[in-house]
Amino acid sequence: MAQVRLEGVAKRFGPVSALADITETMADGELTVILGPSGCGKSTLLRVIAGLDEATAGRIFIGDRDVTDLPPAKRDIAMVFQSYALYPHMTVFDNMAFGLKLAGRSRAAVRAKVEEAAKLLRIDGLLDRKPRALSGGQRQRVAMGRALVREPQVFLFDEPLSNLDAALRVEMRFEIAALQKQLGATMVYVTHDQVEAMTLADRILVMRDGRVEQSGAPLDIYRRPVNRFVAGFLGTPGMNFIDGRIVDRGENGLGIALGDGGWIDLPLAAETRLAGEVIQVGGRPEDLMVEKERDDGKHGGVRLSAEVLLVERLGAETHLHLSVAGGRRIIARVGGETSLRQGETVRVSASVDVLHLFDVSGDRIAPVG
Amino acid sequence: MRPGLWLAVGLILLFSLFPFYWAIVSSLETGTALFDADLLPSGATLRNYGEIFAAQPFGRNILNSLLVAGGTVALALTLAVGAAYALGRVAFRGRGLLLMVILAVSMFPQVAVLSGLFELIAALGLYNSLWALIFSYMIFTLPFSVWVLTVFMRDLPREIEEAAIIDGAGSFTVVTRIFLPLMAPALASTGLLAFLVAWNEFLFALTFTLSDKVRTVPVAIALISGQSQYEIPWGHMMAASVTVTLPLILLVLLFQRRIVSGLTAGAVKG
Amino acid sequence: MYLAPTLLVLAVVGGWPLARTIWFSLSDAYLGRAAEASFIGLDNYLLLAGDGEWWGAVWNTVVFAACSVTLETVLGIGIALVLNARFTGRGLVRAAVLVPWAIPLVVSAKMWAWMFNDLYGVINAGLAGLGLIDGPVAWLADPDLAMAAVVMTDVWKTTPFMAILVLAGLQMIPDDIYEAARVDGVHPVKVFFRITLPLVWPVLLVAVIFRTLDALRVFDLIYVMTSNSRDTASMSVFARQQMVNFGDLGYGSAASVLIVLIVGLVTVLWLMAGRVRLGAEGGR
Repeated sequence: MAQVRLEGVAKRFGPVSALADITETMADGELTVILGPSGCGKSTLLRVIAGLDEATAGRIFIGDRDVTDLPPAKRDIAMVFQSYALYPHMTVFDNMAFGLKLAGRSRAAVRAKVEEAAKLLRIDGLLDRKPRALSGGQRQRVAMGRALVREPQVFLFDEPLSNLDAALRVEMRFEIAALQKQLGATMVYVTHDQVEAMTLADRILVMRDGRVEQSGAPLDIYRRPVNRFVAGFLGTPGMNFIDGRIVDRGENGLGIALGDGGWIDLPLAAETRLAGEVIQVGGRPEDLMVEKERDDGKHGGVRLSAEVLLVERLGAETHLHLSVAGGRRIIARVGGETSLRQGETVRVSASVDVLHLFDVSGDRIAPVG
Repeated sequence: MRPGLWLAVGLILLFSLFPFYWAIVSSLETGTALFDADLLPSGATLRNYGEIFAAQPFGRNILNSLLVAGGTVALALTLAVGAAYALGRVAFRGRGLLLMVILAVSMFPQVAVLSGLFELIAALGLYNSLWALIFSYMIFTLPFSVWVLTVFMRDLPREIEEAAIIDGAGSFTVVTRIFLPLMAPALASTGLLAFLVAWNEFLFALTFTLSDKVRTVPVAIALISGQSQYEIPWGHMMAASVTVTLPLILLVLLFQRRIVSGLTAGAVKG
Repeated sequence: MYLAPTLLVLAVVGGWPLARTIWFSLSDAYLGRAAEASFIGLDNYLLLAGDGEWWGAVWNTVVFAACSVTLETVLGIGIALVLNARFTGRGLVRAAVLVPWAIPLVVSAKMWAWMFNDLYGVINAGLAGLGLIDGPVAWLADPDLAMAAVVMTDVWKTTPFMAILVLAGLQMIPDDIYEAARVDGVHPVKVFFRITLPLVWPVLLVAVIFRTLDALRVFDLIYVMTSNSRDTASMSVFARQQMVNFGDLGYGSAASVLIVLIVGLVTVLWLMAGRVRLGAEGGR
């Protein structure tokens, strides 16, 4: 196994820039997920690593080898495609054996490898079938088997689970994770599904418009998104944003005036140079606390009133759709047993240290220390 | 509604099949029986069939037609698969224009290339040979085959090709080991149509061949003549017609679906 | 390159001969001594312009193409509509419809020539039996009837192509559109003109263009059924006769070039008509 290192990789399709100056390392033995909305360049990045698309600029290293100018077959990688891309006219065995045969391995060696991989993926009973006689999950396994027998340095996955139904997707996700741990394999996995990304990844690269917006461990990214885009992309329901402005109250310290009458106290240590700045406050639905409005003057650091528009009871949790004064809609995630009803006026609060502040250009600002 | 439908179906069948039926009836009759317009053959005999093979090199003509049509199909498909790969899978500038030009070639009126082709064939020493026909039939079978196969090739999933590339296949391996098997149905359709076209062609066959020995069936039938100008041997002619048509009809019945898909591939998708 | 062989072959069998034909058309070339030909400008074309026989051939071809394509289209749509209905044995009927298409043109021509035979033909016998005619009709000898006979044969031979293409077009129309129309209570005739026809229009247009081009090039059928008779000779028959029978390569080539131009022009006209019509459909 080996790491994948990208140095200043760029890709243009004519006048359109698909990837811009990407420098990243996908560590040896780790599963790196490339996450982003469609059209962000994540598949292009994977294809550039695979050699299916040529990088316009930059170098690509697999292990210590510079593979930038090598054809896909020489890069010692294997790829699992979204559509599985099984050869329809070949049996499962031949599908898995095709690459090995082309590489000129002996019959016995090919058979041994294929059977070993098939056993691992529990498709050893299907070797004589044609792809059209397989279920979606089985095809997925065959596609993985075809990658496995090549014993590559790096496995590349291009949205491999998006053609499966929800239940199967969870199961295959588990198997990919298990396989990765078992083999200690380096995997690069492209998806637009943030649940897949959060559950599978050792490390996530969040991409937008051909750039890596943020990379890091899943929970780090979730907790400390570097900008509004990343903050909004991870998590369902997504993060809530409310406009506000930082106000200096002299010795009472800084606070944030929310556009619609709400208020957030900032800790005394907050930097005064931020005063006057127009910002956006982000809060994850699970970080918001919602209570019936009581006029007892106690409101922690956050004071915001809202009206309940809709109560979605999911059993284990409840999603409250709220309209804060001024008409902005936010979602709060509370326990399964809430007594709040549609139409009630409520007070929304949160601990200041779990809120996220973004400046007008969307970048994270750290008002504290 | 239903009786109307069946009436329509009946009329369609009558329209489509009667002329051929009549040819069969006539081919089984000789002498004066031939000249009665009875719907059933009177005094059916296979004598006409025997005579066309004995009196004329008709067997030889059939062999010629088979060789020409077979050769045309083999050559056209071989060339077309390569071209379709390039046109269907490889992106390059002017691809659409090239396709249109190729298609336009098949729209050439045959007479427009007749003299130039004649000259060329004579210069190559192919005049009065089967090669002349195989060669000249490329003008309509090749564009058509390229067109249909390109449409088909374009619809093959890109990822399969990429999977093969990652498996270490070069473009030749991709074409022969992956695309050819996948294109078998399209190849069958295209091949059948090319075969029929080559088997039926008349103008080039008439112009580029001279002797009985290299004539193909359509020319032979057109040139069947009797003792005198006024005594056209209709019985022979019908027997010959039935002989060359029966295999084609069997082919059509057997491969109906393939032919229909080949016929429509260019028009409906292109 | 995978394209090169194909392009080479097409250039050799298509491009080069066409170029030669254009050159011949501007020269006084004769069959057998084409090498000595010299450039004579547009003389051949000027001669053609005044040649009644050529204009006769043009007229014959246009009449032939117009009549046979119209009839084929109407019949083809009719047959396609019938075949699009569900009934037992549809597959067999569809195969039967293809039979005329598979029969070599020369064979069809001979078969119909025999059926049209004035003395012994089944058509005269049938018509006489029905009391529609008194004596034998000389189908292939009478100029007007000969054209009708040729058109009839062509229609028989090529309607299947039309029917199959239109059928393919019909089968691409989703059933629920018809069901929606039925729910809305639209009259079947209206359904045909307002829903079916516009939806198969693109396919129909392609089929009609193919057939028109084919009909304008017609050679085999007319040559076999009526030989070089002036009354039915098509443009192609005329051109070949000039080149091969009379050896006047230059004159025949000029005619050929004109055929190419006419065919090209008609294609462009059809495409434009189709586009305009499609635009109108979109506007509604």
